[in-house]
Amino acid sequence: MNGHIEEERLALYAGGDLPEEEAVVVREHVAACRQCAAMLAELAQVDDLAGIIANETPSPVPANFSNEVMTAIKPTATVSKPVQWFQFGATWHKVAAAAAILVTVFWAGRLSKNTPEDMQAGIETQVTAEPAGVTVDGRFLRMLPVMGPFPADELPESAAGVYIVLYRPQPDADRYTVEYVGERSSESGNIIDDIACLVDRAGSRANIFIVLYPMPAASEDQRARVAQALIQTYKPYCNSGV
Amino acid sequence: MNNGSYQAGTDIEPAVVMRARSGDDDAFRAIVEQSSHRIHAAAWRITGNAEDARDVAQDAFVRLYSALRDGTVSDNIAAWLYRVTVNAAIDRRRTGSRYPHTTLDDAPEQTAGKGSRPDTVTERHETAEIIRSLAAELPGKQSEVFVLRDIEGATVPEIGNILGCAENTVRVHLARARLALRVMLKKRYPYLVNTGSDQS
Repeated sequence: MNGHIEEERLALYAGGDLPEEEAVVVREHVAACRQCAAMLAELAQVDDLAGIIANETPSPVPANFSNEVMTAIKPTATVSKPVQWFQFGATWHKVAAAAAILVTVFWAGRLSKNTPEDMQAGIETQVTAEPAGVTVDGRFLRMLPVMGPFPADELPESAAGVYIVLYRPQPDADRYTVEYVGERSSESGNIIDDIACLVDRAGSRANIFIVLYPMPAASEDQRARVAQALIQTYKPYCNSGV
Repeated sequence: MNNGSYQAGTDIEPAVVMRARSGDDDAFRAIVEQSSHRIHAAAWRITGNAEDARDVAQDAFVRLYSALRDGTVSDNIAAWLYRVTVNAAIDRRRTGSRYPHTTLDDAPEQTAGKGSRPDTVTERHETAEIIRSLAAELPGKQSEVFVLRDIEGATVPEIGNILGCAENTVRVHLARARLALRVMLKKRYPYLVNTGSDQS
């Protein structure tokens, strides 16, 4: 303890969240320790400042709120096909019409400084003029080639590559948020089941979509590097270790 | 400490849930009407404005509709709905409002009580906005727990129920959130937190 109370205990004590038997110890120490008392005072101020929000009176629920909700749920009551994407081989989905998300990742073919023997790839992401219709976190991206978006359980089983998991914050709008990026081999199992955060964020499996950047000949290390570049770009919530 | 705003909410009657899951729109409307005040209020406290609160609350119910129909949720509806709302509101705060910034005319009514250290309505409103923004910058779980405890006023056991995690886990995230906010405030808004502590 270094003669002081741990910061975490002080933080909990400041909000009244320590069990009483621990709170007694903190109280006695703080009464005699200026340093801990000062820190506690600051933490108590944080608590006070948050209380300002608690004292605000929220705006009232809009008068026709229930009707708006009932209208909004109607599109989700029918099955809608996701936007189709580019063709990648005869077995995949056909080329889309307009209004599709595209994300571009180029293989620049540069050799890595660290592993010159590998066929390393330089990874560049290029944001170009936006196509019509769909946005991802407000940014328009291009990817070529790509498969999807697939509904959560329709990703082809043996497809190896980098996958981007999307969900729609507003289920009735074509606006997607990246919630997870990962890589998979051809032997990988169902992606959605392995990551509890995905359904939690999306609200339901029906609101999860997957885009796959196929990399059938790449090593795990190469797939991981592409995934990492996308993670650094999008900072998906479910990649943050929550 | 905030022990005020959060209302656990009476959970929805199982019979109503079952009817809603089966496609009974009247049953689903009843769920909306029972929960809308609480959900909308939570969305408002986190986003800070009426338009975003309306959007977030509406989206939460739309997601509930889908989740009921596909079986993702079948009980503890109130906690599920609340958690979805809090997360969506934090996300909205994090990515930015879709509506013009609120002006002084939009500043909410303030009631007397704790947390009234900034003296004027304007100062309190600005401070509230600062706290909302900083809370949204915290890492995922810290943000959720801080919002639920220190803005919404839920207790640690209630938060554990809402988030589906152990109380000790809630306390860990809560402590880290408060410590992080102290550092952020001291660095960026030192006039709000100033007791002469040398620790950073």
